[in-house]
Amino acid sequence: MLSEYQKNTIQDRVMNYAAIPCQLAGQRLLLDAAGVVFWPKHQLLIFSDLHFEKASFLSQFANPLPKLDTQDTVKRMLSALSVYTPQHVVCLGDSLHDGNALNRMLTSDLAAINIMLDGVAKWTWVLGNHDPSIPADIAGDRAQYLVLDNILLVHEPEDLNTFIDADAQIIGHFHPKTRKKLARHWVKGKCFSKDESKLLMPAFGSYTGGLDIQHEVLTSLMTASPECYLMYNQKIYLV
Amino acid sequence: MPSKVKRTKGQIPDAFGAWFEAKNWSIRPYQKKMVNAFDNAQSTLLIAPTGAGKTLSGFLPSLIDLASMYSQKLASETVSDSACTSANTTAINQVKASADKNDRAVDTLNESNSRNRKADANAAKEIGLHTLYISPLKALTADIQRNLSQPIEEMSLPITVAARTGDTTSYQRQKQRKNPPNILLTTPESLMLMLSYADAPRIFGKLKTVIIDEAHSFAHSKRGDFTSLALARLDDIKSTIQASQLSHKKNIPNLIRFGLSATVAQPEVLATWLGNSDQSCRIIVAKSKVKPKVKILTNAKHIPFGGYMAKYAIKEIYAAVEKAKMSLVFVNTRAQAELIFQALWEENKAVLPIAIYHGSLSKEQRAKTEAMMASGSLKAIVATSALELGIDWGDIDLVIQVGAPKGVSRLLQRIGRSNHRMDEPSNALLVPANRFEALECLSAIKAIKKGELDGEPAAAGSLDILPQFILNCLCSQASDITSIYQTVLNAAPYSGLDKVTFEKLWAFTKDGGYALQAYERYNRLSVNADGLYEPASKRVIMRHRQNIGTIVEAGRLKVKRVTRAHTGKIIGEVEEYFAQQLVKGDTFYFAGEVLRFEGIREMMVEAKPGKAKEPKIPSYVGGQMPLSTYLAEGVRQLLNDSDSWRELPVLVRDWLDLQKDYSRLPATNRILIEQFPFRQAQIIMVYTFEGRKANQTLGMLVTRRMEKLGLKPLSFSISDYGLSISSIDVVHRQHIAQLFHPDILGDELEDWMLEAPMLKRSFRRVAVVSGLIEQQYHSTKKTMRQVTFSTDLIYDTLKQYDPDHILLQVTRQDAERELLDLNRLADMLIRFVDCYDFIALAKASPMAIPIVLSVRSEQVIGAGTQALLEQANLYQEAENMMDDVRAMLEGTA
Repeated sequence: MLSEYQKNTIQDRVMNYAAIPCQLAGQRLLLDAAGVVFWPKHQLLIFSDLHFEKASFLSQFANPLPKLDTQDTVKRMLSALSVYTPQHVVCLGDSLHDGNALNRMLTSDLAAINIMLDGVAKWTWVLGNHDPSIPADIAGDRAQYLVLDNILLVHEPEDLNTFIDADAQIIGHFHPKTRKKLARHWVKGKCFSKDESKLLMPAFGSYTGGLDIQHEVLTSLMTASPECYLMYNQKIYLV
Repeated sequence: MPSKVKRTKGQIPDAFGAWFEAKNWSIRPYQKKMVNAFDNAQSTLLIAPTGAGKTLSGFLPSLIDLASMYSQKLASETVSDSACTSANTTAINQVKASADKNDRAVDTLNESNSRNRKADANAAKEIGLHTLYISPLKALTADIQRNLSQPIEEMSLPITVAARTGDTTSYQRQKQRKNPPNILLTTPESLMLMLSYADAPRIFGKLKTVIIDEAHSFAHSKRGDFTSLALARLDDIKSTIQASQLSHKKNIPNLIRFGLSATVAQPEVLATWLGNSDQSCRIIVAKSKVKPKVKILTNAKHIPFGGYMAKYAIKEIYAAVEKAKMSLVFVNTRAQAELIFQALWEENKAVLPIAIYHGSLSKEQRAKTEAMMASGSLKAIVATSALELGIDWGDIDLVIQVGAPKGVSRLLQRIGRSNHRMDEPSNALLVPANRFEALECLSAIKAIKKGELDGEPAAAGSLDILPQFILNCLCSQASDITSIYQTVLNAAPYSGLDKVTFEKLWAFTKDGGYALQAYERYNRLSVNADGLYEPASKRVIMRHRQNIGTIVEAGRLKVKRVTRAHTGKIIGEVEEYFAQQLVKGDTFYFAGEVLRFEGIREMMVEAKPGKAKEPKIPSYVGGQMPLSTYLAEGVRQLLNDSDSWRELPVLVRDWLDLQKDYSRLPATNRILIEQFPFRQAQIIMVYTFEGRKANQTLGMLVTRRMEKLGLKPLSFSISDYGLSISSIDVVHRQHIAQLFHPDILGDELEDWMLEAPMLKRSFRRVAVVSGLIEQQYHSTKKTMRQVTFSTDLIYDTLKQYDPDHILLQVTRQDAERELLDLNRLADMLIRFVDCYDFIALAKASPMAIPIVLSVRSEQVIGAGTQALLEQANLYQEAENMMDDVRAMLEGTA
């Protein structure tokens, strides 16, 4: 039951390389250049690795960094929400950078997050290694994982044999990025990495970096030639 | 110690005169002037060519003053210590009386010697740190220490000398702090570190003079600003001690500053930098009457069109090395050093001892090479600028400059390395790496013949150093804003700093100075009970001390030469981005050896010695110097003066003729622009002759305009001579006027300044120097996380949410200073309005080739790259994609 607005938006974005369709275990998903996944069938929008309060965490170690990351991340989330107007949002883990994040967060930022949650019918925080628990100050549901149709949504990769229904998983955690040589130029950026049974999401948080998909941790995780969707200058390409 | 060193003002004491005579040296007039200057407490800049006894002139006044101080102190001690004298007499009598003459004699002599040593030590303590010597290089301090030991030992002066650099062990450092030597040789960074300790006033309170060597290498750089601030702090300490000792002595003169410099174009600028804000220094110039003999290599069979490596001339370089007694082969980059070194050894049938030297080699390697050089056991040494500065090494009779010299002053300084007798000409051979460079070499030769030099104007002090400096002062002693501001104003480059900017920098130092603050503020500074500022914690102090300095290197990784499973010696460093391109099994040259990359472990590159097939050479970011305006102009003139082409190698003349036939030669008062297709793109080649920095700025601005005009620029490459821009669409004659209009510097520059990737590069430097992020990372302890932070991310958020933040202002200043060369660009654009020669060609012209082949190009983020990505997009058919979208959307109905 996508609205006309949603359908037009999606088509527009695909035409302009701002989003790209793909298939995972028979499910049709949309990968967006903003670094989010939209699943039209479930009106589901997925963010991953927000790492709220990373800057304030690091600044405890004598680094006078500007603590603007949470605010910036929320701003970009709002933007994605207004584009897709989903019914359900899942944040795929590491939403908070550490257990003490909420104590450091500005009250205005916390309020903004809750207001954002309020505007979406259902919001699920999948827990990650950085945030094994999320304090009650933040609204929304918490879950170790979610299974929707035959897809497992979880922070770190799981053995699919232990999930009878799942044929594939969408995971966060790795912050994939890549670089590609085109006509003697290197083009670098965050990316999605996909094989038959996994989709790795890029990190959405403002101060998050990335791990190159050529790194041995990722090459041993994925099958021989995974698909790589590079995000560059607000567009996305299968390279 | 000579019995008495008596001093009359301005005169050389007899003991010293005798020492000069014994060495068969005559005291040069400017050496006498320096002694005079010292006695009149007159800060002075001495400009003399290398090998003219310059170092001795710097130290002579100190040695004389110290000798006389010791003389006085020791005399007063012996007068009061009659017991010692009689002990000596008794001892000698005993010796006469005893059978065990030798043993007793030695015992008692030792005893009286140790009494003398004790007397010396006491005197040394009282005299304290008298002279501070600052040099830009660690290696130089080692050398100076060797040199100073000559007069000191030969005249039996009890003067104590020590060196303090990054290489000094902590044991030695403790010793020095406890008992400061009379003369301390150090680097600016080590000095600043010493100034950060609470005992700084005690250590530096008795300082009389500061000698700054190779001053010409400091003045126009951040390092110069940094050093200036350190000097201002020393003045500060001195005047504070003075104030507290008002009752004791009257008229303690200010710190005397001596600068030693090679020949520069504008000595007044340097003198201003050397002096404090109140008055600049006096200038003494020791002129060399003899001009160096410089030749261009003309006998090569083939000179390439492009490239920077000069490998083509190896046989000729080797022949020159063989003929000379000892040569210095200077190159411009470390990559060149490795390559030339390797290539020379491949030619080296006579097995001549040839060594390599550059800053990325480990300290041990460098020390070894320095020692070999000093003992004369080398035939040649391939070096980058690390060697350029005043080290007196043996009898070099030939300097070979490989690759274009980039500047006349710089070339002269390098040539000055050879032959240390002022009355005989030095010999130099210039080896251009490509035909274009041959023009530059000839220009330089003409300039030397005419005796003309190129110079750079002074710039206001760099702002990003100030937070570091503020913290440095506060680590030593708590203080307030106004006092530190006063100190800063006394440093010449900062004399014009306004208080508001300083206060913003202070706020940044304190807690980041952000408009939006979390309620749990992170403070680096806190206010103590007396209302004064001090570092907020030990961790702040520690972090600061580990990160002192202005040199921001591209991230570097140490190289470990492993022989067996992860064990091996560290032999130097390579740049991180280079290391990350490597895959296990890749080979590369390093320190003259071929190494095979095994992997990166614990932030170190592990490599085994291996045999080369196609080794990749380490490439380093450092060493890219821009062409001076003067030389650029010289080249432009040369191109239009076909008579002088006679002095060029035949092949270069042919190349110019070819250019004239195929395209045209750049005219002196017009800018030539060529257009041609090249490797799946369209190129415009703009010959500006304005130097790298100006060309880079021009490249960024013009590609912005091209973007707006829909020409889809992809990238641009620069050299000192010109700029090539590649695009998807063809640029036509009618576009030119718009693209190069001077108003680029108005609109475009503003836009660009707000968005450009180059600004982010500046921000990275600023972030490190100002202490926002750390460059030195702690070793891998589990409790301390590695903080590798991308400054790009910080920059973006600052720009969006805190656009007035002081660091953005500082970044802009840094960009203008380091990158843009705006004045030069403005001049050029205005001069050449409507004076463009545009010619469309079927392929690249002879003159374009070197630039177009340039490896480094600056990418443009825009429609061009998008176009390439779209082509590369594996989602082949647009129709397929839309089918998929439809299927996706229908599935939801």
